[in-house]
Amino acid sequence: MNRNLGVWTAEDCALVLIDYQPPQFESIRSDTPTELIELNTRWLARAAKAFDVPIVLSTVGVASGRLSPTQPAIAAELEGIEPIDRSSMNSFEDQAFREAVAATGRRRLIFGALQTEVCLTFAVIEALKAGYDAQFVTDAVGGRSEIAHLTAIERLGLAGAVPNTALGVVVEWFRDWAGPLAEAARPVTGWYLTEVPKVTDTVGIAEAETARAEAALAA
Amino acid sequence: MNRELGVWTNEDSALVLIDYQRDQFESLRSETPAELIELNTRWLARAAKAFDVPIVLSTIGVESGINGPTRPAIAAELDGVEPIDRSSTNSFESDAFREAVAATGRRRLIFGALQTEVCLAFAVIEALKAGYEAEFVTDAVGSRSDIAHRTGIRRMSLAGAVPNTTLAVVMEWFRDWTGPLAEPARRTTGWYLTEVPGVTDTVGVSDGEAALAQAALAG
Repeated sequence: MNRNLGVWTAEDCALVLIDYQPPQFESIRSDTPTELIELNTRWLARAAKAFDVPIVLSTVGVASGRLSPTQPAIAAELEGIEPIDRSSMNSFEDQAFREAVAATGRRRLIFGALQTEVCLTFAVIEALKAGYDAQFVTDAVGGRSEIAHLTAIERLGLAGAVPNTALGVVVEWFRDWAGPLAEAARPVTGWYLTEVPKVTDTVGIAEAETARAEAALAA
Repeated sequence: MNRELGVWTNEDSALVLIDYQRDQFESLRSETPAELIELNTRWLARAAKAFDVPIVLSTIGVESGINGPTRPAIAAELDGVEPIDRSSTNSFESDAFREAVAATGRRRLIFGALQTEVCLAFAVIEALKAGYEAEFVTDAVGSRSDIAHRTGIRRMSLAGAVPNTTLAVVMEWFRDWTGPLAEPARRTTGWYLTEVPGVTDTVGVSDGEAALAQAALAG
């Protein structure tokens, strides 16, 4: 338990995205549908870029030819960011990964990774041990089963990591609709709110929000 | 985890209600139905008034014209309590909000807010960081999806906040059916128990309670 973490800001965070690769997507069987995981991850990437939050991207088994690279729709949001390919499922065993994280200069890491109980958990647990604050995005991750996913969420929370959602992260980064990031927040949030209904009807959106989202995109 | 918190009383608590507004209600898709969230929030407000628990009320985006004011049925319970309107989703970034909370003189804050992982979580996390004790009312809050709601609950609990329900908050405030608050407790509880069946059949009310409730209202 840590009562002193407070609300996180765009200035103190980095975004770390790990193993969003087609084989990992294919075996997801936990609560968030894969299409929504993909959309939520794209939104995190777009928002990080819009708010100048540094991004670290990593894959596993691409160089060895065993696995395909980052899911194209997600890679398309990450132009100019070189993926760090690894052989270890524990990202922190990879020197290039550790150095890329350190090079962000940020001590608060927000993690999205597939899958929850393996590559996400290992990275978050090691980040905490290395002295970082760690947050993970429950609806941008998934596991092979619901119990695997939930077990890992429990493990991460008990270790001191902070659970959040994609929307929670984006809103936490800019916070204030009259603040310095509000202009950047409007189109990126508007884009998301118009995409969600194409992917799922399980996420609520008010009519006035849809109207504002469309207006923000048209502007 | 904090073993020293004990049972809270009406003398040491303040009630903080945040963003019970049109757009936030409309997009609710988590476990507690919107009508029950409304009723539970009304009960919290009524009980706080009956037991002299100070109330802080806040809204977002009303002055800027983005959102509607506090939901009318809830506002009707809060006569004389001026809402503090904000542009930031983090209530503690508002000077007027922080000052209103401090002015209650209470160090234990009981929060209800829409929505769980955003405006509720941010306020609770910041309250803890500022040295307050924080409680949140799981069945008077909600979010766009069940996973978002549950993620917010987990985040707050892991940070040291206390989860509670509407009924338990009211009971915790007055506690004793022969205590000094028993008379106002009978009326406000009676009102609630006669209202619940009109809103949901997912909350149990015994026949004996329903009879006592009607007697208390007639008495």
